[in-house]
Formats: sequence, C-alpha cells, structure tokens
Amino acid sequence: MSLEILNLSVRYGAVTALSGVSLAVGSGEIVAVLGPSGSGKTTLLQVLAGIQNPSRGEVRLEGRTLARPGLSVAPERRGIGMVFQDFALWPHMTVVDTIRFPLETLRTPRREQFQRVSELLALVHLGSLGDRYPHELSGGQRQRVAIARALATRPALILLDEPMSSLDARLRETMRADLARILRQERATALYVTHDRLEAMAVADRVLLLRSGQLIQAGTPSELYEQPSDCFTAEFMGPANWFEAEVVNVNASPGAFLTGTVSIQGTTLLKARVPVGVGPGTRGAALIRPEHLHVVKACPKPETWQAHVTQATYLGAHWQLQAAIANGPSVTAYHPAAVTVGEEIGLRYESNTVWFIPI
Amino acid sequence: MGFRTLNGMAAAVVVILIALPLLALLLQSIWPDLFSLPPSLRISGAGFNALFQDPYGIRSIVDSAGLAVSTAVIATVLGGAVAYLLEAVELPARGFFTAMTWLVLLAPSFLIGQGWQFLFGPGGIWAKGPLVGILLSPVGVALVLSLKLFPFSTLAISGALRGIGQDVVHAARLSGASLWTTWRRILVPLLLPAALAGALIVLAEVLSDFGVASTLAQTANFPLLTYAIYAAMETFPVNFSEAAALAVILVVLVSLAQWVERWIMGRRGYATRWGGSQNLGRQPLARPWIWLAAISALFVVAFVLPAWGIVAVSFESPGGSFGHWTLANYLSLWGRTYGLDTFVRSLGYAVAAGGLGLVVGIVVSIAWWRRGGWLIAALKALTTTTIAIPGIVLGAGYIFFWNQPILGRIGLALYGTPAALLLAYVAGTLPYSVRVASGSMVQIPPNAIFAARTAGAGLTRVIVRIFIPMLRDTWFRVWLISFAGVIFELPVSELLYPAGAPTLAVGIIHQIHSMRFGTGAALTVISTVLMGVMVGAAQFLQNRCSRRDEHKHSRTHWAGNRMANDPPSAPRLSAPRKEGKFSL
Repeated sequence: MSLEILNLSVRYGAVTALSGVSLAVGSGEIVAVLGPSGSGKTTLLQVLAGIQNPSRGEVRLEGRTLARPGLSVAPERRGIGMVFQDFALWPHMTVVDTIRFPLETLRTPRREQFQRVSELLALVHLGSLGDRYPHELSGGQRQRVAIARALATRPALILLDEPMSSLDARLRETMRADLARILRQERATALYVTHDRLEAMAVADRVLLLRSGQLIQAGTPSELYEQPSDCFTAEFMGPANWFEAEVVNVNASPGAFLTGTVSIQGTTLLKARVPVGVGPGTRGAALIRPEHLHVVKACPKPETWQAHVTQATYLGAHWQLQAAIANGPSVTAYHPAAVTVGEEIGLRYESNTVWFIPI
Repeated sequence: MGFRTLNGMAAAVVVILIALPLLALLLQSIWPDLFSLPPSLRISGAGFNALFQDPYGIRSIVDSAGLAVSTAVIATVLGGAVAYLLEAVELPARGFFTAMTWLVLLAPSFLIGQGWQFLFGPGGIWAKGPLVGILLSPVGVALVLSLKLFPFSTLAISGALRGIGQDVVHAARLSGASLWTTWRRILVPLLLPAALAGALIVLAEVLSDFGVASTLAQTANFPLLTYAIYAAMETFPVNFSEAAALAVILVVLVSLAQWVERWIMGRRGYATRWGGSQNLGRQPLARPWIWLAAISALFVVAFVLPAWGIVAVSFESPGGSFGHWTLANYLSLWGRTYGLDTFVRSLGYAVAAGGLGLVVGIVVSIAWWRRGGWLIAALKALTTTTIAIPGIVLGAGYIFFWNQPILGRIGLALYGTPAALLLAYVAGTLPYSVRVASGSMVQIPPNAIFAARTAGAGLTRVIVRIFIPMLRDTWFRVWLISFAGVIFELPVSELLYPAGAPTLAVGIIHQIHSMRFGTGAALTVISTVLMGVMVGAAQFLQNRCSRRDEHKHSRTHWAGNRMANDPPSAPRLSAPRKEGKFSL
C-alpha cells in the first residue's frame, strides 16, 4: 500500500474533528474524500500535509511514518504534492518558475528541471503560457499550473483540496475529465477532497464518505450510489425516494448483496436487493432513485403505482415531477415529455434497482 | 433639489476650494504679474530664475530630496521590523504596540520636533549632552522624522502580511522549501512592493512636512523645501514668484512619489489576495522578552521621550533650571496673546471646519456616487490627487488666489480674514472626508435607494431619511477626525491666520521662537489634554447613541447582499434541491 492511515483522530480542545479513521490507498489509486462541511475532510488533508498534528493514530507513506502523536515530519520532507483550493500560486513567479520551484528545492540538475517543466506544460496543455504570471491566467489555467507544480517531483502522494471550487460550473465539468486524465497519465496516487458527489464519482476509483469526523462508508462510486450503507450516504450521493419497508423473504445470491422481497406499507410487495446479514422481519427503508421510476399511463399493472402529479418543473433535458402515490409517499421522478399538474399517472419501478436499508 | 443641482454644487465647491487656488499658484509661477493691477500676460521665468540663483532655495531642494530618501530607507527598516513583530510572531501586548503605532502616526510632527528640541536643543533639558551635535544635524532630523514616519511603512507592510494567505507558505513548504527558503523566495518578494510603497509614502510625507522643517530642522540650520516656501512668502523681501516656483517643484516631487506608489500597489498581481482565506499564522518567539524590550525602546524613543520632554519643560520654572517644578507656565497662558486664546480660536475653527467639511464631503460624495458625466469624473480626479498637496502649498495657493486686487474691488479679497483660513482648512480635509464618505456610500445597497425613490422620495428626502440615518456613525467619525486635524494644523495656519488672531499651532511655534519654551510646552500639554477629553467625550456619546439604535434595528444587510459598487452578478441557474425524501 502506498498510503496507510491507521485509526487517525484529531481533537481541537473539546471538538473532535476526526475520529478513528483508517484507510489504505494503493499505488496509482485515486481516492475521493467526500463529506459535508465540518465532516473532517480538510482536517484529514492537513494531517497528511503536515499542517496539523494527529491526536491519535498514525500516517504512513510507502512504509515511512509521517505523523503520529509526538512525531510530525516537516512538510518539505514528506514527498507530498498538493493542489490548494484557490491554487496558492505565487504572484511574483511565472508559470515556468512556479513549476520549477519544487525541482529547484530538490536540487534536480538544471537540464532535467527544464525537461520536466516542458513535459508537464505539455501534459496540462499550457505549452505556450510558460512566461505568464498568475494574474495573466484564467481560473482553469491557474488550476493546471497548480496541478503541474504538485506533480513536478513525482511525489508519492498528491493531495487535492477541493480544486474545482474556485471554477465556474461549466469549467468545472471540463476540468473534471481533464484532471482524471492528468492524474492517471502520471500514475499519481491521489487523495481528492471534495463536497461535490459528481466530482468524486467522475474522478475517483474509490470514494470515502465522512460525517462528523467519522468514516461512514468507503467503496467504489457505484457501490456508494447503488448500495449505500445508510440513509445519509444515500441522500448525499444523490436524490432519493424513500418507502417504509420490511423484509419478507431473502434469497441467497452471488455477490455483495442478497435479493429478496420487501413489503411497502404492509401491502405492496417489491423485489429488492438486501444487504448481507439482513433476514426476514427486518424493518427499514426502501430506496428508489428518481431515474428508476418511470412514468406510464395510469392503469393498474404489476410493479406500478397510481399517482397524481403535484408539481412539474422543466429542466431542459427532462421534466422533474413531484407525484403523490395513492396511499403512499410523495416521490420525485424524471420524464422526457411534459406532464401537467393534477394529471393521474402510473409510476413503474425497476425491481432490481430497489435497495433496502435496515434502520 | 434634484441631482443636477447637486452635481453643480459639488463642482462649484471643488473648483472654489481646490482648483482655483492651485491654478492661481501655477499661473503665478509662469505669469508673475497676472494678478497685478493692471494684469500682465507677460510670461516670465523670474520665479524659477530667482530660485536657481538663490543658494538657500537650491539648498532646500537638495536637502529635502536627500532627507526624504534617507528617511524613507530608515523608516522602512524600522517599519518593516515592527510590522514583522506585530503580524508574523506571537509578541506579548501586541494590541498595545499597535495602538502606539497609531499614536505615533497621528501625533503632529511639529510637536514631536518640539519635544526633541526641548530635550536636546539650545536651552533644552540635556542641551549640553553628547547627543546634541547629532540631533541638531541632518542626521538627527532624518532620525527624528524616521521615528515619526515609520508607522506608514509598518501599516503598508502589515497590510501586505495580512494579505498573504497561509496556503502560499504551505505550497512552498510542500514543494520542499525550508522556512528560510520560503521567506527568501516567497514572502520577501511578496512584501517588497508594499515595502516600496510604504517608503514612497514616507518620502512624500518628508517632502511635505512643515512641522519638523519649522522646528528642529530650522534650529539645526538645515533648510528644507516647505520652510523655504514659507520663508519666501513671509520674510522680507517677499518673493511670491520664487515661492510659487518652489511650490510647483514640491508638488511635482510629491505627486511623482504618490503616483509611483499607486502604480506599484495598483498592479493586479499584488493587489489581489493570494493563498487562501486564512492569514499567515503567528510563529512563537524564542526569546520574547528581547523583542519586547526592543520594540518598547523604539516607542520610548519615538514617542514617550519627546512627549516627556514637552511635559517636563511645561513644569519648568521660566528662566530657571530644570528640576524646579512650577505651574507658572500654565498660569501664564491666561489673558496673554499666543496663550489659551489660540486654543479657543482653533477650537472654533475646528468645529466649523469639521462641520462645513462634512457637508461639502457629503455633497461631493453623493455626486460621485451618482457617477455623473465628465465633470464629476474630473472633480473626482482632482479631489483624489489633492490628497498629495502639502498644506504649505495649499496655503500659498490661497494667498495667491484670495489676495488678488481684482477680488478686492468686488469685496471678495478673503486673504487675511477668518473665512480664507476656514476655507483652506475645509479644502485640506476635503480629499480625506470625500474618500471616507464615498467609502461609506458603498455600504448602502442600491435597492435601498431605489426603493425609496419608487416610493416617491426626492433627493432631499432620500438624503434625510436614508443616507443620514444609515451613515450617521461614519460621518460622525469624518467630522471628528477633521476636527482633531484642524486643532493642531500648522502650515496653512502659519500662512493664513488673520493678523492678531493666531491659531493654536501658530501660538505654540511663536512661544518657542520667542524662547518661551515653558509657555509653549504648557500650551501644548493643556491643549492636548483638553482635545483628548473632548474627542473622548464625543466618541462616548456617539457609542451610546449607536448602542441605543442597535436595539431598534439591525444595521447590516438592509436590502440584499449586493453592494452599490458590486458588478451585477449572473442569475442563479439552479436552485438547491431536496428531492423525494418521505418518511411514512
């Protein structure tokens, strides 16, 4: 493992910013640390960068201990690159000087310095802008300089602290794909902190979800989206419809989950995927994502609920509906065509997409 | 009253108070007989010729330039060290030293010069000590001015230190740089423009200074430019053309320094904050008491010592030796010309000039706020540039303009009357009051005014019901600072005070030049104490009023988050959403 975080805790007086977080990141892996404000993700990054000391636990990089209570390797001796939220470029240095700086401090031979700088400029598509100062660059270009600087010495780990937050929405979409390309091309091991689930899913191999300083769930983006361990994760990863449910029976099936039947409101029976270890009689909530509810003509069919539309919002690519299910909850669904408020519709669910969360 | 009338008023005020006197000065330097009767349009270089043939004039320019450069260097070193101690390390009693920095900045320079003179000057407390030779020399003047002006450098460099985010340092450290390399390669280059800008402000201040030029430098037989202007206008034989030529040279030098300073600070790369929202953290000090002793010593020398000199001399028996305490100097202030009457007179001028300056400042700043046409733009440029005009030049301009025989014929020759002095005081404080008043206007969201106008309110009602209640506190501070500035004002007062009715600073200088050190010192002490009490009381009353009002209404975010000068922002395309959650 390239990076190992063992039972890491950080306390500021009476406040616990991180509590017993453990994580292993493989070489070349990109891990996104996701969480709402105050979840401890920036604290985790600061401990790794050497800006903050842990109260408990240990951080190791390629087998070398970087931090534990009473020991903190100086930031300049950690071999870590970092991309800051507002990029932290030095206003008195040109693009070339900025990218060269870490190579200079490492006393890399001069020829190699310039060779590496031009390699990186090509990688981040800034070939012709080497002589520019930060204030002569756009937001996206500044970000590319910051990435190139972090990659310059081929560090064992790259930390990215919400690097898209200073960019506008359109640029953010372009940069997401670009960033993933650059990191993979450099085979960088990276920890990417963000509060944007779309960014995390687009860039990372694995996502780590934090809340109130605790690790809630770690897994691939699809695992967190489709099989969240709790309601918080489900909601954080995307829009969710909830139904009170109880497991009726469970069938053994290969893989990380089981299939079974759950009852909704004690009457409707749904085929659902159920976490391992959950047996008949377990009460909880059934999650159906809006994109898995399809609007059909209002007639009774299996796997279809009667509902009437209470709100319809045009969002360009589709309409977003709020519909009240007869004797059931109000749900969100998407539909490609216009639907009028008050219209009676049928809502068909895809049974293999229902996920049961025990509560 | 409409906005058009208001723009006209603002234009008239700036033209009369600032533009015409400065124009008169410039014209006087080129057409020396323009204001004679009959006027002559003969262009003459007589003023400049006289200047270049006058060894005193030439020497004053060379002295001033040399003094300005050397003082700027010393003040930058001192100011930089203080800024480092106040902003970059954990210094005990930091708040106290910050307050002391402001105190030194605000203390009138002629009082500091006077304090040093009382200590080491002829007839001073330590007149026979070893430091007399140094103090009464160009080196001594440069040191005293550096000790008075280093807060400008401190403020400039402190501001730059606060403007650097800690991520800039973290980025360097994570790039492999040691603490030393980070300072050498990152922080020092980032602070350099601010240090240079601070040095240029000090340079402009030294060139403009009249307080030390007319006290310590005068005693040290070290002629400076501002005093040369004064001497050319006030000592026999009077030479207005030479004074005008000297004033033009002074304005050019000061404006050049100010222009370079603005150019440096306006460059985009350095004006923006870089490196995250969190400031650089303060580093712990290894031996804090050494630094504490050093900074304490600096403030003792810069402020406490000269202040003590004044207080000590004020209790010295007239003509007696130091050490015999007496109240005779204080008692002698009553019923004597150049005594307490000067304080009362200056108090009257200060109240009037503060009030008039505030009204004028508000009128001009509302006109600015409206962003009128070319006329307002020109006035804006003129008002902001005149912040660089030294008081002695403003006073000279007032003499040239308001002393014209042609104005005398229509009964408007104001020179020698209290009105000319009052108008000059207002003109002197105008650039400052307009800047602060305009700054406060930005706090009012445009929709708050628009709402009042759509409700049918005209300009007068908008001013009375919206501007005044919202900006009362800021405007009060503008008045208070103008008031305090006028009380101890020296250069304009020296040139324009009506015969037989001297102002406070003129009175103090007169006592010193008459070798009545004790009386001058007593006048200084009692005026400072009385002014301190008045400013304190005014501040106390204002705080009480503000606190009472805070119970009635909140003063923030009156109408949305956008401020008057913010660029219009793009509309939000998506609203935050909360979808489909439903608990059965």
